[in-house]
Amino acid sequence: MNLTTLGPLAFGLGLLGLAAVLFALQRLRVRHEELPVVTTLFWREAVEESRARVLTERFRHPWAYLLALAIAGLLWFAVAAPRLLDDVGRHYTVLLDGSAGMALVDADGGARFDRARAAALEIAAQLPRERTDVVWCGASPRTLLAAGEAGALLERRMDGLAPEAAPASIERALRQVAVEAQDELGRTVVVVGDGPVAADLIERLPGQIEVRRAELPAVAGAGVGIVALGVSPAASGTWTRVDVLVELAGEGAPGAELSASLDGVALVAGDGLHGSMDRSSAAPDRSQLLLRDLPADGGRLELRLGSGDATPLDDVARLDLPRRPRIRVDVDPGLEAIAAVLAADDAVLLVAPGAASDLRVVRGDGEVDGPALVLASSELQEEAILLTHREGLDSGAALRAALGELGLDRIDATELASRAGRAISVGARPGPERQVALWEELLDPERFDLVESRAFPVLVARSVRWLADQDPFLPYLAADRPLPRRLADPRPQLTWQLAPVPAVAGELQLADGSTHAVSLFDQSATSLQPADLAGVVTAPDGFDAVTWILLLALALTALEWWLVRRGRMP
Amino acid sequence: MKAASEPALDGLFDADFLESVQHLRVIARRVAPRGRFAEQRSRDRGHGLEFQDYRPYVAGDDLRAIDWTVYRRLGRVFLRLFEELEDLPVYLLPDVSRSLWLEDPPRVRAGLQCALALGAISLGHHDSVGLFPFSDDVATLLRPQAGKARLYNLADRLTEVERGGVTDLRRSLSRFGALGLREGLAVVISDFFDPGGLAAVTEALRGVRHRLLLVQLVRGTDRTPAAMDGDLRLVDCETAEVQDVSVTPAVLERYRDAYDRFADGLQSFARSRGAGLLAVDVERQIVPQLAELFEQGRFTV
Repeated sequence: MNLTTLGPLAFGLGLLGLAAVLFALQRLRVRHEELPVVTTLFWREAVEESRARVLTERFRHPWAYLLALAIAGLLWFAVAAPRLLDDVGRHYTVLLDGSAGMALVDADGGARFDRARAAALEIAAQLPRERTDVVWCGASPRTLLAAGEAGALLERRMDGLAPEAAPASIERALRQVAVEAQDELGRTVVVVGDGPVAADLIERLPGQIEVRRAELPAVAGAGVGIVALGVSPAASGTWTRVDVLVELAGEGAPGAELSASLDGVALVAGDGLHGSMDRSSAAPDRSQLLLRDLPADGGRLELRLGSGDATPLDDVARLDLPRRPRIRVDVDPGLEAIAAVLAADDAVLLVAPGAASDLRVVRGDGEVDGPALVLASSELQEEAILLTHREGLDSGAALRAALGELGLDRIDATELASRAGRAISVGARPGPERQVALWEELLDPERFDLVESRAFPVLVARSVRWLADQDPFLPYLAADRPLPRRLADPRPQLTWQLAPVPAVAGELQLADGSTHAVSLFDQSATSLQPADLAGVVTAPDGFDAVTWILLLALALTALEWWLVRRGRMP
Repeated sequence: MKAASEPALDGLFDADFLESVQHLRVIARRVAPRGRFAEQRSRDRGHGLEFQDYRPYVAGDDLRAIDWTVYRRLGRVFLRLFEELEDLPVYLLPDVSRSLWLEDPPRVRAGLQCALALGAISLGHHDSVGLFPFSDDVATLLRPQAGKARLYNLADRLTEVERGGVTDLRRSLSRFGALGLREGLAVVISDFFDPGGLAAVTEALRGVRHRLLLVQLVRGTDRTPAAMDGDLRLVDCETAEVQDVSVTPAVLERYRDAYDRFADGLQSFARSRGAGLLAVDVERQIVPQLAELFEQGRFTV
């Protein structure tokens, strides 16, 4: 019988029943074995005290009865509920963990989720129906059986449930419970599963909520899983290539067999076409692999662990590689210094004048349409460098961000100012398109040394990239984790940035119709190591109370035995 | 010898048994001044065969006792005093109440053997022996008779005893006293488990005007009951009273205390009354025990 199952009334009735049974037993006539003796003279003196349990006589030996009742009562109390007193009006929530970690196959071959489901059914059946909720904690918490609903519905609603490729949502469910239980006298949350619960979350829960974890068989080991997959610009500097980092965790990770494919075509390490694969191991249960120079053309990369293990859901991970086309730039004739820099830039494709381009490099004293690097006259433009950013943004913030992004901070402004004989300033203004306007005189090698400086190619290259305004690629997409983005990237037009990432591994569809692979990167689902569960509240103090009660009952039993042996009790 | 009427008494006496009791003697320190001549010594001086002392003649003395030789020498008349040997009437009172017949071997068997052994001794010394078995009352099975030839008669009578009822020493000994028998030695052979307890036993024995020899029939399990454990309903074989007992070491200890008090009380009574008390183990041979108790053939009462 579960400790949380018995109400005060049932406990009291049980105790009363025990007292009645013991009383009846105390008064029952003992079935004696008849034995003829030559005389009962001496026995009469010796056994004057041994005629207690006779139905027809008065009730004798109240202390013996009280001792027996104390023992039985303690045992009954240990079975019923040591925390009985606070059970009045207590609500219960059973959280069935349906996260990826529950797809584990136990050491004995049994499905861990099936065991958890059976345990949840059993626990829910023992709790008061009118005060018990059962919540499915798959990708998102969902109520399976509300308080007051017929218990028979639960099994049917559990049919077909299976662990989802998602991190545990136990903590989310707990936060919901905390909100719901604000006005309650008390609530016990029973977690059925292995999903981690942070210790600080438990501490923040209201005092009337207690969290306990149902017992399940011990986990032997979860095997190896992919716990991280991220993309970054290629370390080789090639604009159209990216590097991908894969991290494996779990026992045997360094030697785990991993296969990779891009758009369904298997990658072959070192083939020169699809990059190379380097492996490194920082720890016995950690391994990192770097796939270099993969084409950044939007292909879908799939990684799969070769040998199946106890947790299948973390053996596959997918990632959509970014698209990084070269920036087409139309450079006006006569701007050889800039053209030379751009020609050496791997990210830039110089197009013929008038051809389709992503931006232009033009001379202009008036308004220029579209993204452009404009070389303006210092007579007409007060600021040596003037940024035009999209409307709706704060110019000051945009300017501060651009200082580093465009490499403006690398320009020796003092030298330029002394040569120009006037202040060198940087400004920003809103406009329909991004533009960077700088004095054309600054390119005159006779007056300034900007073109010859190391800051110039940086300024040009970065300005081109800023003006091209290509979508920043997502380094990774993990289930139930916020989209990674640069905090300083003020681009509200990227509506997909606000799209929530699904809690379960699969696809993320954006408003523009594009889809992106979302993978499960959940450390707790992969490596069910003790350290991972250290912060989890396990069995509450009730266990200790039961232990002490049982020990007390045992001591009283020993006392009764001693008294019987000494003849001080019938 | 007639066949025993009770199966428990089959083979009660045999030739070897009778032979083995011949060397036992009981010597009375005091006997009644009257009665038939016998070989038992008396402290009274008179006309026996063995000279013991002189005393001056007084009127009325038997002239046959005057030592005329002394008279011739001294001129004074003295009487020769001889130790007067008188017989010792022995009244055997074996207990035949139901408790004597219960166990195996039954105590009555040892009790009757004791009675016969003591009777044989007395008859062998020309004492008269009477047989008065008792339980809730006393019966006269054999009036006091002397002569060695009476031994088989005594044995016959002993084998004819019947199972009695409840032990009632007060009534039995009171009736025995009312028989008006000459003062002698009353040998009470019993377990002394009178339902009235030690008080009833001592009160009954105190009323006996004869000298007393108490033969207590005991067995080892009287004090230390064997194979008794658990919840028992003990039924008194005489009174049919029941006693429910949960046998524990403590209860057994208290039982032993009660038994010891009884045994000590009986012994104290015997000591204060000047009576002999023989404890005979009914599970051992009777004659060797008597031989031992009589101090290798002689026992003074």
